[in-house]
Amino acid sequence: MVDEARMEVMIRLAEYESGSGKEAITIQKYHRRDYIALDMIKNFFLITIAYLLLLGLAALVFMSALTGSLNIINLTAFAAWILIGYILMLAVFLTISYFHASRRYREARKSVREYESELKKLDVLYRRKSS
Amino acid sequence: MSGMQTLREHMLAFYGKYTTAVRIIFKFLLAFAAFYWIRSVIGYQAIPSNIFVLLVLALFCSILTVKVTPVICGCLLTAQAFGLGYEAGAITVVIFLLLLILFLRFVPNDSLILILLPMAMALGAPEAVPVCFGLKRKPSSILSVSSAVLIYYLIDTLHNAPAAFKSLTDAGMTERLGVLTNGIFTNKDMVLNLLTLSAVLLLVYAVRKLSFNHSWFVAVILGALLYPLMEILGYFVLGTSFLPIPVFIGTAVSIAVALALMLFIFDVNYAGSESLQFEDDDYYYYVKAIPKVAVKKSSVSERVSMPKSEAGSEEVPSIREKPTVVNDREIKEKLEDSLKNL
Repeated sequence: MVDEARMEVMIRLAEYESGSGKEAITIQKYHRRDYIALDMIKNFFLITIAYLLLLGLAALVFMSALTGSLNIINLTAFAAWILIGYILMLAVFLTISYFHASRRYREARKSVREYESELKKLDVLYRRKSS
Repeated sequence: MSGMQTLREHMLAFYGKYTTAVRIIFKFLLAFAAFYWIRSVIGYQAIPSNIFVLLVLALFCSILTVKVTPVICGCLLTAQAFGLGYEAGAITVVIFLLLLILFLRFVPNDSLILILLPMAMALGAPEAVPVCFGLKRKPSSILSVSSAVLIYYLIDTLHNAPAAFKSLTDAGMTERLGVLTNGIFTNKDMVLNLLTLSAVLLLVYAVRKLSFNHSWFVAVILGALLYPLMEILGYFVLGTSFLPIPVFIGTAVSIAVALALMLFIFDVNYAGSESLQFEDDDYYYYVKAIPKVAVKKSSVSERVSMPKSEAGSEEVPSIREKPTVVNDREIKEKLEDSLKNL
């Protein structure tokens, strides 16, 4: 005979595993520091790509001004500004990434704990049935 | 007002009964509207403009998660941009990559803003979207609002590009690229809309979080009025375009849409609000309890059963459920029970 209480818990668990829990369970396989570090390394490369794309776009927007003043531009200072822009952008976005990743990890831990308590509840229901 | 609430109950009952079908139809219509709008504004390629292809794609979107729709919209937009020229396609790809890397991956659940806001801007009621989403979302949604504004102006630039290209004396790739990038990034209207719509979302969020009576209603009104105000300021200070009648009609429509949404997500009876104060070992608690507006279910059931009896068919007894009466004492008892568990 179908045990309704057990079925309810199993439905909740299955919904979690196939829905919002899929990502949370994957995140919880990492230690907090490892997860955040990996996320920041990934972001470092993505932000570098984004900065290069932004530089390309900026070059297009200011192309006429650049070609007109190419001879009088101090290339060293120009390169320094580009580098400062890159460092600033990295600092801003890596900070955002850090907080974003730690919040995601915190939320994942909370939801996985709820999931584990549901698993324990299911275990208790099984034991009760077998005893 | 009670007529509106009865209508809401009917709609919720209908949604509850046919959830899957309603969702599929909603997603299909949303996707098709977005695809059709892209086709009508920048239909430069034959295949992505084919109605049959768009219908098939919308059908795919209807059975998949709503996050897929903006991705397919992006692909269609890029395909249409390549129809205009390689430089337009490249600019579109670069802008999408930038939005994805810098903004959109932080707000993966804001797909609806990305689909609805560009269309709302085209329809002349852009503030409707940030006002509605300010009622439900967090301030981080300004990333999606900013991205959607940029996407709208990208589409607008691609729409105006053929005329701009014709005016070029030497239409080389560099000049065409310059026209496209200048059209998007040096557009004062875009900057103004980006700042204004983000401010609208933040204002609605901030005001509706306050605890005074009717804060949600005030948030909607203030948010919707901020847009025309900023447009007028932009007209005088930045010299941006401003058409008073369409803007004010858009504001009225936005208020109506937001109030209709409020009926579903936050319908409370302020007359029955109570302020309570109590304490435990660690804290003092100042609690404001506002009852939700309750519609007597029997009145809904009676109305539903009316047409059958009028048509002379077999008389169906109306389902008379015990009306839900919001009792002050019940609220207090429930609160006290929950406080015991603190």
